[in-house]
Amino acid sequence: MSPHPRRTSPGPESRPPPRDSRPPSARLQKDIALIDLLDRLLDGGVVLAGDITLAVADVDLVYVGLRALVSSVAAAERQGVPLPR
Amino acid sequence: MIYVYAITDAMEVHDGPSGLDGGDVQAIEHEGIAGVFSTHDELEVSSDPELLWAHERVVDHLMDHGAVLPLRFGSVLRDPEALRVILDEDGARFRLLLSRVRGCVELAVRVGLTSSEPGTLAGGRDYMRERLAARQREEDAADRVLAPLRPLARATAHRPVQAGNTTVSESYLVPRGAVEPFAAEVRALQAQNPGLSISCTGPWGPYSFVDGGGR
Repeated sequence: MSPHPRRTSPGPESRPPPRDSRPPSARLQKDIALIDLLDRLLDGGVVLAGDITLAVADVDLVYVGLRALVSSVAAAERQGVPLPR
Repeated sequence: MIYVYAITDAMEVHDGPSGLDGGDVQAIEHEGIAGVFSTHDELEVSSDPELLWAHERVVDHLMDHGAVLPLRFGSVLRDPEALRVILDEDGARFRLLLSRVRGCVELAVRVGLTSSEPGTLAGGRDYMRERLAARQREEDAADRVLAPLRPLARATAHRPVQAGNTTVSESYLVPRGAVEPFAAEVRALQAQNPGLSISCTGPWGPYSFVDGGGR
């Protein structure tokens, strides 16, 4: 797949579009952006002294699901087969 | 309680996006730095992508106005006064970190690994040894692929590969003006390595470059 910026121009509207009929490559880009988002927000960032950081539910499941997707898409691309949808 | 998004030296937060659960984003200033938060009676924090993007949108908006230290997702304090106390006590650390990330954004690059599965099981031990060796070769290859990107960044953070992970991931702290040349280099690397799947996302807040020594 091609490298792509999460957004191309500055602006507050960086929200990904809602689920729709975009081509699989666009969905894949959205899913990779979500993995990168999870990596950063849940594992990076400043941790405050005295913070009572809330436990975030369901994260492991989301990770597993997305990584499985990325893995299968990468495999599909290597074999030159159309992406399953 | 308050949900905290970031510490910043930007004193301009109005006209930005709303926060988690549509909350109004406010700031409390203390000696030239500000904590940015929204107030909630009740807030359920889950990995719902909409909540994660809401956090990042607030950070993203702040970055248009100054240097920003994004907080980890899910950071909650009792009230604005608790945040002011932290700004007071940790102010020196925050100023140092702000000076490091000023003018920069974070870019994320991921290289897909070819997950090699040995076909035969000669023995558990050989199998594991071969698997680990193969894994190491893949990581070394990804490492070499990414090498040309590092000089374009002010700092690089390597994310350790975890079990079940099929990609090598690195974060780069890149001056705003160098984002396009960086993206062009990523495209060139992809063209030179058609067998690998390389992705680049961003610009993000500098989440991977605010680890300033302990809490």
